[in-house]
Amino acid sequence: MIKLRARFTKTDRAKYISHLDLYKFMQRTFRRAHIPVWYTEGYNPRPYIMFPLPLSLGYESDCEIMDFNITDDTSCEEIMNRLNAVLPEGIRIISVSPQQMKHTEITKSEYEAHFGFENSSDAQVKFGEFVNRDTITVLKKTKQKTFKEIDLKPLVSVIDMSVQDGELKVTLTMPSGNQNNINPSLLFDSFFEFYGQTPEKINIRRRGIFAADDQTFM
Amino acid sequence: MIREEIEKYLLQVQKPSRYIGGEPGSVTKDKKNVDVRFAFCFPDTYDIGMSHLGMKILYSLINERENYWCERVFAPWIDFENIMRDHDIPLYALESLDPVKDFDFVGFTMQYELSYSNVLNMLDLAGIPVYAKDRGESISPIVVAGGPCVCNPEPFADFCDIISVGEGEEVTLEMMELYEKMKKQGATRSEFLREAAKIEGLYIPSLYDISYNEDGTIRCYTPKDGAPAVVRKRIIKDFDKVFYPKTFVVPFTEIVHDRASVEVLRGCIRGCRFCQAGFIYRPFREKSSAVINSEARDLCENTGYDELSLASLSTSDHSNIDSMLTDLLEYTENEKVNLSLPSLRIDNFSDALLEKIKKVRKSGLTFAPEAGTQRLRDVINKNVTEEEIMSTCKISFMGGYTKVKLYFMMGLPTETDEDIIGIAETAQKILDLFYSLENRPKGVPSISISVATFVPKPFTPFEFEPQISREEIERRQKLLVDNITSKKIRVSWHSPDISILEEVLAKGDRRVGKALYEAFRSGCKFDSWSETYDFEKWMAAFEKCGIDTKFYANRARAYDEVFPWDHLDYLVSKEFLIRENKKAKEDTTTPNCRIRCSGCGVSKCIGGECFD
Repeated sequence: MIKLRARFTKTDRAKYISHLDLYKFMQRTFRRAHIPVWYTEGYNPRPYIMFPLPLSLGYESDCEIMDFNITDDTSCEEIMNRLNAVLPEGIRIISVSPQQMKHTEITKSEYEAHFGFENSSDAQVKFGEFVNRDTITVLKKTKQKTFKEIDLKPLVSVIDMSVQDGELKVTLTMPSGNQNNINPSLLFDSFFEFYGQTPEKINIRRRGIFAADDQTFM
Repeated sequence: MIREEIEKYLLQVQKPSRYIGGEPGSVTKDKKNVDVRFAFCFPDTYDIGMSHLGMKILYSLINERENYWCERVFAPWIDFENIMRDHDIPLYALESLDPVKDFDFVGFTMQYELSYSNVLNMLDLAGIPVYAKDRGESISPIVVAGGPCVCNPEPFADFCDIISVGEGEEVTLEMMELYEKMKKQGATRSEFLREAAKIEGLYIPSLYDISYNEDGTIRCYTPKDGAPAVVRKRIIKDFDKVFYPKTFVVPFTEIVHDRASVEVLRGCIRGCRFCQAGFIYRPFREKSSAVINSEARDLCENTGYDELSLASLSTSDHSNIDSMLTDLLEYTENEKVNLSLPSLRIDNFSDALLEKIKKVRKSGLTFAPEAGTQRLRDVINKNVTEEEIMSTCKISFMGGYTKVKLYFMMGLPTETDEDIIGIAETAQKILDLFYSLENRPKGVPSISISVATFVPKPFTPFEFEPQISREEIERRQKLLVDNITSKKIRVSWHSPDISILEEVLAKGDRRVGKALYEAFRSGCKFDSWSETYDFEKWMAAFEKCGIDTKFYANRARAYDEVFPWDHLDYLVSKEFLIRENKKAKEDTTTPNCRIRCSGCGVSKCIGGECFD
């Protein structure tokens, strides 16, 4: 049994596949590609395919991660080619390699967001004001389905803000992983409220997943 | 572009992946190379429509032609429909995301009467005139409907340009070929429809005048412009050679039947007198074991499904069931595919096969005695004895099952209180059987009884029979509950309101269409969904249009009455249905078609015997 890790894109129509549906989708993809994926043992064996970091419904991504085991020595390149041959529009495997890090090492993700506001230059100014406040307090849903106030200020790191093709473009990082996982929509929804406008078009894309010291998660 | 508009709102609705397409197996083509575009519409939600086998067959069949493109369309759920109407997003097809009204054909598959209102709503949402007469002389779009429900298409006929009668695998392409030729010649809609009427199996409702008797029954149908007096349904003769898809569109989100499925046989030999499918799908035809196995492999490999099901009205009636299942099980066990076997009688299997099947059948056992006494089971020709019910239950209890689900009907012709009490007694006997077994499985047994109100349907020996009244349905339901004495027996049923509407629409004539339109205008849709069904609105629509529902639902019909579906020929003769109706009233059964031909008329039409 060989433990492998695939990185894949999730864009276009595929961004509407929910995290829950993704497992079944990939299970069927492995079958179509005739890849001997390892099954769990026990009463109800099922293919072991695992997505360590969920992506919100509607987000695009350049760098999703999928872990799985195979039972023979098919090469990583062969696996990538066979999967890509049977995947639909929007999902592309960009690499398959042995697992180098544990998923507990994931610390943060980088996101690029595009917003179609009526006046994007104005929105850019307001977004600057919004993130430069001393605290950015939002309500976060807890696992007990109650709400808890958290301050995003020490958690978010804005890398870039600009107006591109008439849209506000924001690049930032947020904590990811099983220690502290923050959905950037918390920040954006809070901004829409602050600004008093919700953009007609929203496109959010995960650009990278990182471990400690800004190393790309491998 | 519609896509941009849709994407603005998709994240606001439940299960957005239903509305955007792009699934593995979906077919996209370059419009430049396409001559005829077909929007295949299922008038219910994606989750239900995507489970329908007929759609998968015709979708692949049409797309095999390089210059034809078939796409899928489903009814948007209320949340998304509201958004579409608020933002002027027209109904679109899932592959190209192009508006349905730009297609050459807009085809609906009618699987149940309660989806009629959805068809009208979908046409409206598409921006296509709901009434066929308002569609003008432009040749496109042609609205066509098919499926079991249109064996009496009359309540629905004014909204369709063409009704496709019988099996669609051949006639759909013939219709598209004619269209392709005539469109190039610049033909008008009515010119095309007149030519289409010459193709066997295509019924053009606008080419018939109907006159009525004073008592409200039909006097006659008069064809015009050369349309045939009787339209005969189409059938596929060689079932081993019929087109079958090599792959399915595999949905992203879970659907009702989320698995690969092979049709093993069509038609049914049993002749249960209440069952419309048992008559309108005749003759019985089956695929050979080799074809079934190869189709199953292709489908599993190309879809990646790890679950396979066999589709038919009664899989156990396949003549080589034992060897067919043995081969199939060898494949599915090796490939870790779960085989599910609905419509299966387990009483005539070899022990070795039974052992294997036990391994794959994990869910509880369901069984359909349909009626509570032997007398009534003889009336409906459900040739199942109490002994067989008990022996099947015993086999399954010994196999470790503790749950049994039984299906019954209420309101069957000649039914008495004794028959209703018989339902309760049958359930009690099964429960007693459980406790009498020394090696019974651990756990508490549970017997659940599901009771449907009988809806007499066209093309069955009970087409002459009235539905029992609402008051009588309720009285009999209470009688049943009063006779259940164990808490381990649970009873459930559908609301009688739904069965009443089903009956009016199943046996209605063309005048009922007005009420259908009125109901749609007042907001009726998704009538098969309890959260959206609005009986009051329907009754108001009938009243407004002067339609007496009792005339359609609760009236016994004479053998010589002209029915709204008499000009459609489903190969089964009316003489045969009358004969069977008389036999039912004498509590006499008819043996299945393999034992003895009962002369239903089908073999005469196909020019030979149904069985070698």
